[in-house]
Amino acid sequence: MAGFGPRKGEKRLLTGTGIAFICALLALLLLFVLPKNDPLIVDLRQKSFDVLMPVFRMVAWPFDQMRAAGKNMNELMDLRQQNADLLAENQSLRENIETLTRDSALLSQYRQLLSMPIETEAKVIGARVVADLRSPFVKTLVVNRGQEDGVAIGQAVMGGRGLVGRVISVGSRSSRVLLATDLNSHIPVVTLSGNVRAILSGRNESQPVLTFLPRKADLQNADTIITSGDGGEMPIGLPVGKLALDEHGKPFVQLHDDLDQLVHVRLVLSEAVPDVATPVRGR
Amino acid sequence: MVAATTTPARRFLQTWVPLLAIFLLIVAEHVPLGRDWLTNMDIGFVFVPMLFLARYSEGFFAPIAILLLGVLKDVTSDTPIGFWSFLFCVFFILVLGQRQLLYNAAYNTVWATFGFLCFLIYTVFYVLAVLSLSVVPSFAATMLGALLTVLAFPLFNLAFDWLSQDDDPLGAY
Repeated sequence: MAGFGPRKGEKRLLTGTGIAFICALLALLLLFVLPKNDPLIVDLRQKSFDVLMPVFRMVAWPFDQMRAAGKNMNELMDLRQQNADLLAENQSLRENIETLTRDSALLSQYRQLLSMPIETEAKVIGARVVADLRSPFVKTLVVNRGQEDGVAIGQAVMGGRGLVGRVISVGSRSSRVLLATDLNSHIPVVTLSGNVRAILSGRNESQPVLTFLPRKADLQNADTIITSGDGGEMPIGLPVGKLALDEHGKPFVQLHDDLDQLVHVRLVLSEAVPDVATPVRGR
Repeated sequence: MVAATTTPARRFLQTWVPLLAIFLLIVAEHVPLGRDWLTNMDIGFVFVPMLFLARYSEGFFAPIAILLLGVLKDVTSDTPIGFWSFLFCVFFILVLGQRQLLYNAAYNTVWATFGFLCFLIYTVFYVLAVLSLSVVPSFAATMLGALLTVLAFPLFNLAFDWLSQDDDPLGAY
Protein backbone atom coordinates (compact mmCIF):
# COMPACT_ATOMS: atom_id res chain seq x y z
CA MET A 1 0.00 0.00 0.00
CA ALA A 2 1.24 3.45 -0.76
CA GLY A 3 1.98 5.49 2.34
CA PHE A 4 0.52 8.84 3.21
CA GLY A 5 3.82 10.17 4.44
CA PRO A 6 7.03 10.67 2.44
CA ARG A 7 8.50 7.59 0.75
CA LYS A 8 11.99 6.43 1.59
CA GLY A 9 14.55 8.85 0.25
CA GLU A 10 11.85 11.41 -0.56
CA LYS A 11 11.84 14.76 1.22
CA ARG A 12 8.56 16.54 1.68
CA LEU A 13 7.94 19.80 3.47
CA LEU A 14 4.45 18.64 4.45
CA THR A 15 2.88 15.19 4.70
CA GLY A 16 -0.74 14.44 3.90
CA THR A 17 -1.46 14.34 7.64
CA GLY A 18 0.08 17.81 7.94
CA ILE A 19 -2.21 19.10 5.19
CA ALA A 20 -5.18 17.51 6.96
CA PHE A 21 -4.18 19.34 10.18
CA ILE A 22 -3.94 22.64 8.30
CA CYS A 23 -7.38 21.99 6.75
CA ALA A 24 -8.85 21.28 10.20
CA LEU A 25 -7.37 24.51 11.58
CA LEU A 26 -8.68 26.44 8.59
CA ALA A 27 -12.16 24.98 9.16
CA LEU A 28 -12.03 25.94 12.84
CA LEU A 29 -10.94 29.44 11.89
CA LEU A 30 -13.82 29.74 9.42
CA LEU A 31 -16.25 28.53 12.09
CA PHE A 32 -15.28 31.07 14.72
CA VAL A 33 -14.27 34.03 12.53
CA LEU A 34 -16.90 34.13 9.78
CA PRO A 35 -20.06 35.97 10.86
CA LYS A 36 -22.96 33.47 10.90
CA ASN A 37 -25.62 35.63 9.24
CA ASP A 38 -23.39 37.60 6.92
CA PRO A 39 -25.35 38.56 3.76
CA LEU A 40 -22.50 37.22 1.63
CA ILE A 41 -22.75 33.80 3.27
CA VAL A 42 -26.55 33.78 2.92
CA ASP A 43 -26.12 34.71 -0.75
CA LEU A 44 -23.51 31.98 -1.23
CA ARG A 45 -25.84 29.38 0.29
CA GLN A 46 -28.71 30.46 -1.95
CA LYS A 47 -26.54 30.46 -5.08
CA SER A 48 -25.28 26.99 -4.24
CA PHE A 49 -28.89 25.78 -4.03
CA ASP A 50 -29.53 27.29 -7.47
CA VAL A 51 -26.56 25.31 -8.79
CA LEU A 52 -27.32 22.11 -6.87
CA MET A 53 -31.04 22.00 -7.72
CA PRO A 54 -30.61 19.63 -10.70
CA VAL A 55 -28.51 17.31 -8.50
CA PHE A 56 -31.17 17.40 -5.76
CA ARG A 57 -33.79 16.51 -8.39
CA MET A 58 -31.67 13.71 -9.81
CA VAL A 59 -31.00 12.15 -6.40
CA ALA A 60 -34.64 12.55 -5.34
CA TRP A 61 -35.99 10.93 -8.52
CA PRO A 62 -35.92 7.27 -7.36
CA PHE A 63 -37.45 8.25 -4.00
CA ASP A 64 -40.17 10.23 -5.78
CA GLN A 65 -40.97 7.25 -8.01
CA MET A 66 -41.21 4.92 -5.02
CA ARG A 67 -43.43 7.35 -3.14
CA ALA A 68 -45.65 7.88 -6.20
CA ALA A 69 -45.99 4.12 -6.69
CA GLY A 70 -46.95 3.63 -3.03
CA LYS A 71 -49.43 6.48 -3.20
CA ASN A 72 -51.00 5.08 -6.37
CA MET A 73 -51.45 1.69 -4.76
CA ASN A 74 -53.09 3.23 -1.69
CA GLU A 75 -55.37 5.39 -3.79
CA LEU A 76 -56.48 2.46 -5.92
CA MET A 77 -57.32 0.48 -2.83
CA ASP A 78 -59.31 3.34 -1.28
CA LEU A 79 -61.03 4.53 -4.46
CA ARG A 80 -64.58 3.61 -3.47
CA GLN A 81 -64.30 5.15 0.00
CA GLN A 82 -62.64 8.27 -1.40
CA ASN A 83 -65.47 8.74 -3.89
CA ALA A 84 -68.07 8.55 -1.13
CA ASP A 85 -66.10 11.03 1.00
CA LEU A 86 -65.69 13.45 -1.91
CA LEU A 87 -69.41 13.35 -2.70
CA ALA A 88 -70.23 14.18 0.92
CA GLU A 89 -67.60 16.95 0.97
CA ASN A 90 -68.90 18.35 -2.30
CA GLN A 91 -72.42 18.55 -0.91
CA SER A 92 -71.17 20.31 2.19
CA LEU A 93 -69.08 22.77 0.15
CA ARG A 94 -72.03 23.58 -2.10
CA GLU A 95 -74.02 24.55 0.97
CA ASN A 96 -71.14 26.72 2.22
CA ILE A 97 -70.83 28.59 -1.08
CA GLU A 98 -74.21 30.25 -0.62
CA THR A 99 -73.28 31.48 2.86
CA LEU A 100 -69.88 32.68 1.69
CA THR A 101 -71.30 34.55 -1.31
CA ARG A 102 -73.74 36.38 0.95
CA ASP A 103 -71.02 37.14 3.54
CA SER A 104 -68.65 38.37 0.84
CA ALA A 105 -71.26 40.80 -0.51
CA LEU A 106 -72.00 42.05 3.00
CA LEU A 107 -68.29 42.44 3.78
CA SER A 108 -67.76 44.45 0.64
CA GLN A 109 -70.64 46.77 1.63
CA TYR A 110 -69.30 47.18 5.19
CA ARG A 111 -65.83 47.99 3.86
CA GLN A 112 -67.31 50.70 1.66
CA LEU A 113 -69.30 52.12 4.59
CA LEU A 114 -66.16 52.22 6.77
CA SER A 115 -63.91 53.49 3.92
CA MET A 116 -61.51 50.67 4.62
CA PRO A 117 -58.84 49.86 2.06
CA ILE A 118 -59.26 46.61 0.22
CA GLU A 119 -56.54 44.05 0.90
CA THR A 120 -54.04 43.83 -1.90
CA GLU A 121 -54.85 40.90 -4.16
CA ALA A 122 -52.50 38.11 -3.25
CA LYS A 123 -51.02 36.20 -6.15
CA VAL A 124 -50.28 32.61 -5.28
CA ILE A 125 -47.87 30.35 -7.12
CA GLY A 126 -47.16 26.69 -6.56
CA ALA A 127 -43.67 25.38 -5.86
CA ARG A 128 -42.06 22.03 -5.33
CA VAL A 129 -39.95 21.18 -2.30
CA VAL A 130 -36.57 20.13 -3.71
CA ALA A 131 -34.57 19.83 -0.50
CA ASP A 132 -35.46 19.23 3.11
CA LEU A 133 -32.79 20.88 5.27
CA ARG A 134 -34.34 19.98 8.60
CA SER A 135 -31.71 19.00 11.16
CA PRO A 136 -31.30 19.40 14.94
CA PHE A 137 -30.19 23.00 14.25
CA VAL A 138 -32.49 24.38 11.57
CA LYS A 139 -35.90 23.71 10.09
CA THR A 140 -35.78 24.96 6.51
CA LEU A 141 -36.79 23.78 3.04
CA VAL A 142 -35.65 24.70 -0.45
CA VAL A 143 -38.32 25.23 -3.13
CA ASN A 144 -37.88 25.53 -6.88
CA ARG A 145 -39.18 29.10 -7.30
CA GLY A 146 -37.05 32.22 -7.08
CA GLN A 147 -36.66 35.83 -8.14
CA GLU A 148 -37.55 34.95 -11.72
CA ASP A 149 -41.02 33.94 -10.47
CA GLY A 150 -41.52 37.04 -8.31
CA VAL A 151 -40.57 35.49 -4.97
CA ALA A 152 -39.22 37.90 -2.35
CA ILE A 153 -37.93 37.64 1.21
CA GLY A 154 -40.67 37.62 3.87
CA GLN A 155 -43.44 36.20 1.70
CA ALA A 156 -45.74 33.65 3.28
CA VAL A 157 -45.50 29.99 2.35
CA MET A 158 -48.61 27.82 2.59
CA GLY A 159 -49.03 24.07 2.53
CA GLY A 160 -52.27 22.51 1.32
CA ARG A 161 -54.27 23.77 4.30
CA GLY A 162 -52.41 26.53 6.07
CA LEU A 163 -49.29 28.59 6.67
CA VAL A 164 -46.06 26.60 7.02
CA GLY A 165 -43.41 29.32 7.04
CA ARG A 166 -41.91 32.25 5.19
CA VAL A 167 -39.23 32.91 2.60
CA ILE A 168 -35.86 33.87 4.12
CA SER A 169 -33.58 33.97 1.09
CA VAL A 170 -34.14 34.04 -2.63
CA GLY A 171 -31.99 32.90 -5.52
CA SER A 172 -32.76 33.26 -9.19
CA ARG A 173 -34.46 29.85 -9.42
CA SER A 174 -34.82 28.67 -5.82
CA SER A 175 -35.79 30.01 -2.41
CA ARG A 176 -35.20 28.94 1.14
CA VAL A 177 -38.23 28.65 3.44
CA LEU A 178 -37.93 29.00 7.21
CA LEU A 179 -40.55 26.69 8.69
CA ALA A 180 -42.84 27.97 11.45
CA THR A 181 -41.27 25.38 13.78
CA ASP A 182 -37.72 26.82 13.49
CA LEU A 183 -36.29 28.54 16.55
CA ASN A 184 -35.80 31.75 14.56
CA SER A 185 -39.35 31.86 13.19
CA HIS A 186 -41.62 34.57 14.64
CA ILE A 187 -44.92 35.28 12.86
CA PRO A 188 -47.61 37.72 14.07
CA VAL A 189 -50.92 35.91 14.50
CA VAL A 190 -54.34 36.43 16.03
CA THR A 191 -56.94 34.05 17.48
CA LEU A 192 -60.11 34.10 15.44
CA SER A 193 -62.81 34.08 18.10
CA GLY A 194 -60.91 35.70 21.00
CA ASN A 195 -59.12 38.28 18.80
CA VAL A 196 -55.99 37.84 20.92
CA ARG A 197 -52.80 38.98 19.19
CA ALA A 198 -49.62 36.99 19.70
CA ILE A 199 -46.43 35.87 18.04
CA LEU A 200 -46.19 32.35 16.68
CA SER A 201 -42.68 31.25 17.67
CA GLY A 202 -40.91 28.07 16.66
CA ARG A 203 -38.77 26.12 19.13
CA ASN A 204 -37.21 23.46 16.86
CA GLU A 205 -39.90 21.01 17.96
CA SER A 206 -42.87 19.61 16.11
CA GLN A 207 -45.29 22.41 17.07
CA PRO A 208 -44.75 26.17 17.49
CA VAL A 209 -45.91 28.10 20.56
CA LEU A 210 -47.68 31.41 21.14
CA THR A 211 -45.53 34.10 22.75
CA PHE A 212 -46.01 37.77 23.70
CA LEU A 213 -49.58 37.09 24.75
CA PRO A 214 -51.47 39.74 26.72
CA ARG A 215 -51.51 39.00 30.48
CA LYS A 216 -55.19 38.14 30.76
CA ALA A 217 -55.61 36.67 27.33
CA ASP A 218 -58.86 34.78 26.80
CA LEU A 219 -57.60 31.63 25.11
CA GLN A 220 -59.98 28.92 24.05
CA ASN A 221 -58.86 25.43 23.20
CA ALA A 222 -59.22 24.62 19.48
CA ASP A 223 -59.59 28.31 18.57
CA THR A 224 -58.49 28.98 14.99
CA ILE A 225 -55.21 30.87 14.54
CA ILE A 226 -54.76 33.13 11.52
CA THR A 227 -52.06 35.62 10.49
CA SER A 228 -52.66 39.10 11.87
CA GLY A 229 -50.80 40.90 9.08
CA ASP A 230 -48.90 43.00 11.64
CA GLY A 231 -45.63 44.24 10.20
CA GLY A 232 -47.09 44.24 6.70
CA GLU A 233 -45.06 41.31 5.38
CA MET A 234 -47.89 38.81 5.31
CA PRO A 235 -51.54 39.21 4.34
CA ILE A 236 -54.17 39.15 7.06
CA GLY A 237 -56.21 36.02 7.59
CA LEU A 238 -54.03 33.21 6.30
CA PRO A 239 -55.03 30.08 8.22
CA VAL A 240 -52.26 28.79 10.48
CA GLY A 241 -53.63 26.12 12.82
CA LYS A 242 -55.62 25.33 15.93
CA LEU A 243 -54.82 26.53 19.43
CA ALA A 244 -54.12 23.82 21.98
CA LEU A 245 -53.02 23.86 25.60
CA ASP A 246 -50.35 21.53 26.97
CA GLU A 247 -50.53 19.80 30.38
CA HIS A 248 -49.19 22.97 32.06
CA GLY A 249 -51.78 25.15 30.35
CA LYS A 250 -49.24 26.69 28.00
CA PRO A 251 -50.60 27.50 24.54
CA PHE A 252 -49.15 25.93 21.42
CA VAL A 253 -50.43 25.68 17.88
CA GLN A 254 -51.24 22.53 15.96
CA LEU A 255 -50.44 23.53 12.40
CA HIS A 256 -53.06 22.64 9.78
CA ASP A 257 -50.34 21.07 7.64
CA ASP A 258 -48.14 18.12 8.43
CA LEU A 259 -44.64 19.48 7.74
CA ASP A 260 -43.37 15.95 7.05
CA GLN A 261 -45.65 15.55 4.07
CA LEU A 262 -44.82 18.77 2.24
CA VAL A 263 -44.09 17.97 -1.37
CA HIS A 264 -45.70 21.04 -2.92
CA VAL A 265 -46.23 24.43 -1.30
CA ARG A 266 -47.86 27.71 -2.30
CA LEU A 267 -45.99 31.00 -2.17
CA VAL A 268 -48.16 34.04 -1.44
CA LEU A 269 -46.65 36.80 -3.57
CA SER A 270 -48.51 39.62 -1.87
CA GLU A 271 -47.25 43.16 -1.64
CA ALA A 272 -47.22 44.98 1.69
CA VAL A 273 -50.72 45.76 2.92
CA PRO A 274 -51.44 49.51 2.78
CA ASP A 275 -51.90 51.28 6.10
CA VAL A 276 -55.56 51.53 7.14
CA ALA A 277 -55.16 55.24 7.89
CA THR A 278 -53.89 55.93 4.36
CA PRO A 279 -56.72 57.19 2.15
CA VAL A 280 -57.36 54.93 -0.82
CA ARG A 281 -57.19 56.69 -4.16
CA GLY A 282 -60.02 56.54 -6.65
CA ARG A 283 -62.74 55.87 -4.10
CA MET B 1 10.73 -3.09 0.80
CA VAL B 2 8.19 -4.48 -1.64
CA ALA B 3 6.61 -2.00 -4.04
CA ALA B 4 2.89 -1.46 -3.90
CA THR B 5 0.89 -3.43 -6.47
CA THR B 6 -2.04 -1.03 -6.63
CA THR B 7 -2.59 -0.08 -10.25
CA PRO B 8 -3.01 3.61 -11.16
CA ALA B 9 -6.57 2.89 -12.31
CA ARG B 10 -7.48 1.31 -8.99
CA ARG B 11 -5.78 4.13 -7.11
CA PHE B 12 -7.84 6.60 -9.12
CA LEU B 13 -11.02 4.73 -8.16
CA GLN B 14 -9.92 4.49 -4.53
CA THR B 15 -9.82 8.28 -4.42
CA TRP B 16 -12.75 9.26 -6.62
CA VAL B 17 -15.40 6.65 -5.75
CA PRO B 18 -15.44 7.59 -2.03
CA LEU B 19 -15.39 11.31 -2.88
CA LEU B 20 -18.33 10.90 -5.24
CA ALA B 21 -20.13 8.78 -2.63
CA ILE B 22 -19.59 11.48 0.01
CA PHE B 23 -20.92 14.15 -2.38
CA LEU B 24 -24.02 12.10 -3.23
CA LEU B 25 -24.68 11.23 0.42
CA ILE B 26 -24.46 14.92 1.38
CA VAL B 27 -27.05 15.75 -1.29
CA ALA B 28 -29.23 12.67 -0.65
CA GLU B 29 -29.49 13.62 3.02
CA HIS B 30 -31.76 16.49 1.96
CA VAL B 31 -34.18 14.53 -0.19
CA PRO B 32 -37.63 15.21 1.27
CA LEU B 33 -38.73 11.83 2.61
CA GLY B 34 -41.30 12.91 5.19
CA ARG B 35 -39.62 11.53 8.30
CA ASP B 36 -39.67 14.05 11.14
CA TRP B 37 -38.04 11.76 13.74
CA LEU B 38 -34.93 11.51 11.55
CA THR B 39 -34.55 15.28 11.33
CA ASN B 40 -33.78 15.50 15.04
CA MET B 41 -30.49 13.67 14.62
CA ASP B 42 -27.59 13.68 12.20
CA ILE B 43 -26.75 10.29 10.76
CA GLY B 44 -23.28 10.40 9.26
CA PHE B 45 -23.31 7.83 6.47
CA VAL B 46 -20.63 10.00 4.84
CA PHE B 47 -18.11 8.78 7.42
CA VAL B 48 -18.03 5.28 5.87
CA PRO B 49 -16.61 6.38 2.47
CA MET B 50 -14.43 8.86 4.37
CA LEU B 51 -12.93 6.00 6.38
CA PHE B 52 -12.16 4.19 3.16
CA LEU B 53 -10.69 7.33 1.55
CA ALA B 54 -8.41 7.99 4.53
CA ARG B 55 -7.26 4.34 4.57
CA TYR B 56 -6.19 4.20 0.94
CA SER B 57 -5.64 7.70 -0.42
CA GLU B 58 -2.28 9.34 -0.74
CA GLY B 59 -1.03 12.81 -1.49
CA PHE B 60 -2.47 16.20 -0.64
CA PHE B 61 -5.64 16.01 -2.66
CA ALA B 62 -7.80 13.92 -0.30
CA PRO B 63 -7.64 16.19 2.81
CA ILE B 64 -8.30 19.29 0.72
CA ALA B 65 -11.24 17.56 -0.99
CA ILE B 66 -12.58 16.55 2.44
CA LEU B 67 -12.39 20.18 3.60
CA LEU B 68 -14.29 21.32 0.49
CA LEU B 69 -16.93 18.62 0.92
CA GLY B 70 -17.28 19.75 4.52
CA VAL B 71 -17.93 23.29 3.30
CA LEU B 72 -20.55 21.88 0.90
CA LYS B 73 -22.20 20.05 3.81
CA ASP B 74 -22.15 23.30 5.82
CA VAL B 75 -23.74 25.21 2.96
CA THR B 76 -26.48 22.66 2.32
CA SER B 77 -27.17 21.92 6.00
CA ASP B 78 -27.49 25.57 7.02
CA THR B 79 -24.81 25.12 9.68
CA PRO B 80 -22.11 27.80 10.10
CA ILE B 81 -19.31 27.43 7.54
CA GLY B 82 -16.55 25.44 9.20
CA PHE B 83 -18.73 23.27 11.45
CA TRP B 84 -18.93 20.09 9.38
CA SER B 85 -15.66 20.93 7.58
CA PHE B 86 -13.86 20.75 10.92
CA LEU B 87 -15.57 17.48 11.90
CA PHE B 88 -14.78 15.91 8.52
CA CYS B 89 -11.10 16.93 8.81
CA VAL B 90 -10.84 15.66 12.41
CA PHE B 91 -12.38 12.30 11.41
CA PHE B 92 -9.97 12.11 8.47
CA ILE B 93 -6.99 12.79 10.76
CA LEU B 94 -8.22 10.20 13.29
CA VAL B 95 -8.45 7.53 10.58
CA LEU B 96 -5.00 8.49 9.25
CA GLY B 97 -3.70 7.83 12.75
CA GLN B 98 -5.16 4.32 12.60
CA ARG B 99 -3.95 3.41 9.11
CA GLN B 100 -1.35 0.94 10.35
CA LEU B 101 -3.94 -0.77 12.54
CA LEU B 102 -6.65 -0.76 9.87
CA TYR B 103 -4.46 -1.95 7.05
CA ASN B 104 -5.17 -5.62 6.39
CA ALA B 105 -7.15 -5.76 9.65
CA ALA B 106 -10.03 -8.20 10.10
CA TYR B 107 -13.47 -6.90 9.17
CA ASN B 108 -14.64 -6.79 12.80
CA THR B 109 -11.57 -4.77 13.81
CA VAL B 110 -12.31 -2.21 11.09
CA TRP B 111 -15.94 -2.03 12.17
CA ALA B 112 -15.01 -1.66 15.86
CA THR B 113 -12.47 1.07 15.03
CA PHE B 114 -15.06 2.85 12.91
CA GLY B 115 -17.52 2.61 15.79
CA PHE B 116 -15.04 4.03 18.27
CA LEU B 117 -14.10 6.90 15.93
CA CYS B 118 -17.76 7.61 15.20
CA PHE B 119 -18.66 7.98 18.87
CA LEU B 120 -15.58 10.14 19.34
CA ILE B 121 -16.47 12.42 16.42
CA TYR B 122 -20.10 12.69 17.55
CA THR B 123 -18.87 13.75 21.00
CA VAL B 124 -16.77 16.44 19.29
CA PHE B 125 -19.91 17.31 17.26
CA TYR B 126 -21.89 17.85 20.46
CA VAL B 127 -19.17 19.91 22.16
CA LEU B 128 -18.67 22.02 19.02
CA ALA B 129 -22.43 22.61 18.74
CA VAL B 130 -22.54 23.76 22.38
CA LEU B 131 -19.60 26.11 21.78
CA SER B 132 -20.49 27.54 18.41
CA LEU B 133 -24.24 27.28 17.79
CA SER B 134 -27.22 28.93 19.40
CA VAL B 135 -29.12 25.62 19.30
CA VAL B 136 -27.88 22.81 21.51
CA PRO B 137 -28.82 19.38 20.16
CA SER B 138 -30.02 16.61 22.42
CA PHE B 139 -27.06 14.50 23.60
CA ALA B 140 -29.16 11.33 23.41
CA ALA B 141 -30.20 12.10 19.82
CA THR B 142 -26.56 12.82 18.95
CA MET B 143 -25.41 9.46 20.30
CA LEU B 144 -28.34 7.71 18.59
CA GLY B 145 -27.14 9.28 15.33
CA ALA B 146 -23.67 7.84 16.01
CA LEU B 147 -25.14 4.41 16.76
CA LEU B 148 -27.19 4.36 13.54
CA THR B 149 -24.09 5.42 11.60
CA VAL B 150 -22.11 2.53 13.09
CA LEU B 151 -24.94 0.07 12.38
CA ALA B 152 -25.07 1.21 8.75
CA PHE B 153 -21.37 0.45 8.29
CA PRO B 154 -21.73 -3.13 6.91
CA LEU B 155 -24.19 -2.02 4.26
CA PHE B 156 -22.04 0.85 2.97
CA ASN B 157 -18.80 -1.07 3.39
CA LEU B 158 -19.99 -3.69 0.88
CA ALA B 159 -19.84 -1.05 -1.83
CA PHE B 160 -16.23 -0.13 -1.04
CA ASP B 161 -14.76 -3.49 -0.11
CA TRP B 162 -14.03 -4.59 -3.69
CA LEU B 163 -11.92 -1.47 -4.26
CA SER B 164 -9.40 -2.48 -1.61
CA GLN B 165 -8.72 -6.05 -2.74
CA ASP B 166 -5.70 -5.44 -4.95
CA ASP B 167 -3.32 -3.91 -2.45
CA ASP B 168 0.00 -5.24 -1.36
CA PRO B 169 0.08 -5.53 2.44
CA LEU B 170 3.77 -4.68 2.60
CA GLY B 171 3.39 -1.53 0.43
CA ALA B 172 5.47 1.55 1.12
CA TYR B 173 5.37 1.34 4.89
